[in-house]
Amino acid sequence: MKEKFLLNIPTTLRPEVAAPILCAGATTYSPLKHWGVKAGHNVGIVGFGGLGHLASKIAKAMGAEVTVFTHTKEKLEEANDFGISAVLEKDEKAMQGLTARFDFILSTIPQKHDLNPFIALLKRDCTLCVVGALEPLEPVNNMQVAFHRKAIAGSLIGNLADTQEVLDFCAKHEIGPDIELINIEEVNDAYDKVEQADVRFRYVINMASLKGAER
Amino acid sequence: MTDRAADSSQSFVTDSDTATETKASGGAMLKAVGFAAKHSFSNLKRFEFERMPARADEVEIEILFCGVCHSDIHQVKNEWSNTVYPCLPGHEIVGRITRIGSAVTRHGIGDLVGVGCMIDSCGACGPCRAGDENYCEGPNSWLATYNGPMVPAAKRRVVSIPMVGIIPMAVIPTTWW
Repeated sequence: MKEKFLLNIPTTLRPEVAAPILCAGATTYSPLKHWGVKAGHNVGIVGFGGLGHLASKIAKAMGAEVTVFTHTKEKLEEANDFGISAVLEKDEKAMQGLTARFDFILSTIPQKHDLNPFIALLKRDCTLCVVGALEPLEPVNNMQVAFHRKAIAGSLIGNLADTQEVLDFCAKHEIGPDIELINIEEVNDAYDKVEQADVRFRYVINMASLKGAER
Repeated sequence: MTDRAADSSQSFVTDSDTATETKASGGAMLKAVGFAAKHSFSNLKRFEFERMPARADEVEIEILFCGVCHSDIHQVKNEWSNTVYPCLPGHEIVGRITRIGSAVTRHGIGDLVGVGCMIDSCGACGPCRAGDENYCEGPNSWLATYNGPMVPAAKRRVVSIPMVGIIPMAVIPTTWW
C-alpha cells in the first residue's frame, strides 16, 4: 500500500467510527465543499442511510439548515433525533411547501431514482448533485432545470486532501457515523440488511473476529 | 497464491513477472486472509491468499475495522459489470502499520491509518497534479480499493500492489499489501 494514499486517523476519533468517514464521509463532504455550502444555506439530503445520515451531520456542522428526504416513515423521527428536519418524499404537500427553498441538494440514493421532485425545490442557479447512483436515472425534465438555470451534477468519492479534511472536520466537530459493530461472519446478513435499508446507519466489521472465523 | 487467485491473476500478471517482483522486493510473500465472494451470486466466505511485501514507498497494515458500504454490494454482485472474482470487498479501512518501506517518511510502525476508496492514480495527468486523484485521467483512471479491472499505468504496479485487480484490499485482517 503506497504511503501517499494513506489517511491519518485523528487521535480523538475512535477507529471504528473513523472507518465509514473514509468513503461515506469523503463522498458527501467533497460535494458539500465544492458547491460552497456554508452557514445559513438550506441544504437538502435525499436518502437517509449510511451516506445520507453522515452528510446531514456534516452539512449541519458546516452551519447549514438541513432537511432530509426519505421514503421510510420511521426515519422521520430518527432524523429529528439528530436535530435534523425530515420530509417524506411522497408527501406532496410538504414537498410543494419547499419549492425554490434550497441552495444545494445532495442525492445519496444508491440506485435508479427520480430527481424531478427535487429539482423544483432548488433556488435559481443552484445545484442538485448525485453521489449514490452510478447508473442511468429516470429522465430529467429539462423544463424544470432550464427555467431557473439550475444544474444537475455528479461527484465521485473525494480526493486525498478532502478525505483527510473530512476526517479532521469530524474530529473537530465531534461528529461521526452511527455505527453497529459486527463480526465478519455476520457480513452476509449485513449485506442483506443494507439492501433492505434495514441498517442504522453503518455496519463496521471488527476484524479481530476473523481469527475465530470458521476455516 | 492460491490456485484460484493465481488463475484469476493471469490476465494481469504472468508467473515470471510475479517471481521477478518477489525477488526485487527482497521478501517472501505474505500470507493474508479475508472474506471473498467467488461469483456474483456467492456469499462471502473465508479466503486465504498471499500478497507482496511492502516496496520502498509502501507500508503493510493490520486491518482493525472495515465499514460496509452499499457499493461493496454493487461490486460483489457485479452490478457495475466490472467485478473480478474472487472479489474481496471493503474500502473503509482503518488499521495499524506493521511494516514500512525504506522510502516511507511520514509514517511509522504502529501508526493508526485509514485507506479509503482509492490506493493509486497515475500522478501525472491534470487532475492528479491538481490534487483530484479521484478524477485521474490516466490510461487506467484511479485504482479503486474496491476490486475491478482498473490498473494504473505500468504492469509493475499491478504486481507491487499484490492482488490488485484480483482481490484488492478489503476485508483482510492481518493484512498486507
